Amino acid sequence: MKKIEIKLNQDALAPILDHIKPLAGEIRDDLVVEPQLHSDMDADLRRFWKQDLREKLGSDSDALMNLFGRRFFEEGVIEINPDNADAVLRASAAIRLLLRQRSLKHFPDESLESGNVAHNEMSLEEQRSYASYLFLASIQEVVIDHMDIILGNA
Amino acid sequence: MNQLNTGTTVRPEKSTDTVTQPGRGWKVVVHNDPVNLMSYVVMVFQRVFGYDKEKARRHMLEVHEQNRSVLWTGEREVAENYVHTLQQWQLTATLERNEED
Repeated sequence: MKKIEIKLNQDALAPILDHIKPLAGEIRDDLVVEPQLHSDMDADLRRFWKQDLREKLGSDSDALMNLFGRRFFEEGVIEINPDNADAVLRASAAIRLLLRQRSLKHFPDESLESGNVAHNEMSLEEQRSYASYLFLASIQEVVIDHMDIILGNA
Repeated sequence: MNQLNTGTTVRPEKSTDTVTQPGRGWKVVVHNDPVNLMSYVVMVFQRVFGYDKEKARRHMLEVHEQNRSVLWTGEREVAENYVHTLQQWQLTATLERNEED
């Protein structure tokens, strides 16, 4: 199976994982973004639609957190392969959206995008949220950059 | 849509060409959000619609600059499937009736 391995610093990542873990638990149970459904969609389809999104997000969340298992704690390595790549990308997107909605909602988009955020003006909660926000974006970028290798197209 | 530190301003070079199934009246629309990475959105458009990178990028830039882009038009059932898939990818996607029909 094609895969990429990413080596991470466990000590540096520990507070970020502590911050992400409960959020990953939250997205197992509920959607981050309420889907905008067409007004003439019937009630059964609405219910099925949302339930399916919830189940998908739950399994995506599991895939993301499963990266940080025994191998990560022993060697600092996470493995992205064809079986988990899409789920890791989606779960990362969901948690980033949740972080933005909650702890980072007071910061302008431009500041978050440019990284031009005054850390000393952030609370500890905001600092950890922003570090988590950037960490998940970095994971996404690495996975996207190597998607051809992961999927065996390279 | 989030550019994350590149500091580069990018604009669509030309308008996007949406794949249209003839005579069918539903649009798949993607709306801008301030969080998802540009590279992520391009990849999702490629994966979901099978677009090449250049076309996916043009749609992404249209979303970024104009706050929305019509990705596909055609039969309702197919359009619903696309919207559902895009929502699984955490994009803000809606189904709209094509008023041109």
